[in-house]
Amino acid sequence: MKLVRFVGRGFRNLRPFELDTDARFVVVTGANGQGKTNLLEAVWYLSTLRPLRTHRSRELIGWDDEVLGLSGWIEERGQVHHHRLDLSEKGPKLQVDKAEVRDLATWFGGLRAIAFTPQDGAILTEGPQARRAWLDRAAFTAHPSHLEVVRSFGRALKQKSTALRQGMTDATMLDVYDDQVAQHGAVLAHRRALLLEELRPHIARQHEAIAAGQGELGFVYRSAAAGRDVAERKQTLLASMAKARATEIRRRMVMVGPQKDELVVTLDDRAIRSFGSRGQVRSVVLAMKLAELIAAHGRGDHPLFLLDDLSSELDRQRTARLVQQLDELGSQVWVTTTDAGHLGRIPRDDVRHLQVQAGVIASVHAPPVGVREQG
Amino acid sequence: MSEVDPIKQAVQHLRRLPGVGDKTATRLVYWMLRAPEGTIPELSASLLRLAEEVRQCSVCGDLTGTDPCAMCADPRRDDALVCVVEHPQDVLAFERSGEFRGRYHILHGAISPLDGIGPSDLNLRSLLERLRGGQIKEVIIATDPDVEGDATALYIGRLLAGVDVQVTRLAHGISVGTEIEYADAVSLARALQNRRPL
Ligand SMILES: Nc1ncnc2c1ncn2[C@@H]1O[C@H](COP(=O)(O)OP(=O)(O)OP(=O)(O)O)[C@@H](O)[C@H]1O
Ligand SMILES: [Mg+2]
Ligand SMILES: [Zn+2]
Repeated sequence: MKLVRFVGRGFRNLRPFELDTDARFVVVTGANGQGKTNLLEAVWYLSTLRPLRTHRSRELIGWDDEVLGLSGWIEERGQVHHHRLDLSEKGPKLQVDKAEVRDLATWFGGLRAIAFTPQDGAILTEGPQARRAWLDRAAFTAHPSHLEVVRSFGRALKQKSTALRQGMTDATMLDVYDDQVAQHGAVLAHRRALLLEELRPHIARQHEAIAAGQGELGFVYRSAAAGRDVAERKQTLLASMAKARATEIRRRMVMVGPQKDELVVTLDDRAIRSFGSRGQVRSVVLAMKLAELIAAHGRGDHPLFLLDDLSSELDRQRTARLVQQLDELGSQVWVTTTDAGHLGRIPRDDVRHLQVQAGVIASVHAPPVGVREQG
Repeated sequence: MSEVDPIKQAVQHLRRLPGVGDKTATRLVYWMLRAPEGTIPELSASLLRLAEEVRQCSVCGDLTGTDPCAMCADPRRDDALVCVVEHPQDVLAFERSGEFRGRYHILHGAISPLDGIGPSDLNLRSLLERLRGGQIKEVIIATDPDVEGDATALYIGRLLAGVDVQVTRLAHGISVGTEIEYADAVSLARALQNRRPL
């Protein structure tokens, strides 16, 4: 899949733009604070309807603008589909091929993306929530229907915890909520586990390639919903819920469920969260993101790969290797950098260079100096 | 009496209607002021009748001007089947599908602690009463296919566990998250045909 044309206005500091992006590599250059990441975030937002760096979509609307509009033409298997998004104070409006989107699956099926940004180290260094969020994000990229699972589970959990907080003791009602939380929780945990199994060998291989000799990686998903399949996981949950019932009623809060699950990542058996160096953390996260991309390719899916500020992440040799690998995978790659020289040799016949200055995006024909020297 | 301007007051009231904002409310008020004589009194009278004459049917809970309602009084409908829905509008959606010839029971909501709605806030007691009559063979639970609708269905299922009646749940032919009221006739018909034991 490829974003071949990208039009937008009112997105953060970016001036209205109309870009021909029909290339395998889109390289975005510019000095600090000019809007490079904002452009990448615009692509991400068009794909996921989520900002890359904040939780509130409203913050994406330019300070001097009332509405934000993004339009993308997405080419996949010889067909081009037009995705259009308008965001105002009232909320988002979505269109695919000029028809209003009523089922979000239509939208998410159209443009998928995997992003790697300098902030992604947080996936490993912050609390368990960050890793659960990554698992769910990755599962969603692989299967957009995962969103519905996450939402249903969250809603059922919220209803149950509200019921407990309100002092509900009606056993039938609590049974109903245990059943719902266990059902959605079992599906959620099972999908996370399956995804991790799919990614695990790819992560190991990528990590070995990026950071040979840094140690052996371990990934363990510790779930309250243990089991080999959904039915077994549900039984596990129901059993521990039954045991916790009295405590839950007394403390008026939910005590068990996959909302507390942890994905433990270790390097030579030590928790990377506590002991990993900055560089080690970055390498592992990059391996995780590349694994997502490779697994997608294995499924015949080719999401966009968005790399923010790559130059600060890796040395030249590793960057060159990464670029070559991405080239082989055949996904459309968007890269931002302050100096295109960092990127090494990019396949020159299939690249668009965009330069951002004070929010104005210009298409530059001659590749910036750094690249030419390399070529 | 308050000194609130009558136009402003009417706008304030109309604005509370679903889908009506300030602009629309103002437009409606000026339209009525310019409408033929009698329009406003007739409109007021018909609204007043809603307040005075419409109540819940003592059998099914639907909103009606006569008790029992026309649906409950209709001798041609099948007494063995009862379709349990959240809202009166859902009945209209099922009738549009043309697939269902049984009777209805309206809960007036779904269980949702987040909205402060518990089982006792729903029209459930009269459902149990209807079942005591012994004519009903199957209860089809057609609450919305969301977390609240599912919780309500599960709760009713447990409530009826001791009653000699088959309890089925509408198959999720409707895309998840769609309210019954907005489901199209074809997918509702399919969901009815494929209903499963709860
Ligand atoms: N909603 C908004 N409206 C207008 N401007 C915004 C908005 N949000 C952020 N900005 C501005 O966008 C600029 C940051 O752009 P961006 O993060 O894309 O920079 P960058 O080119 O990636 O820089 P760096 O190389 O430092 O990462 C900042 O000047 C910031 O003030
Ligand atoms: Mg940046
Ligand atoms: Zn009735």
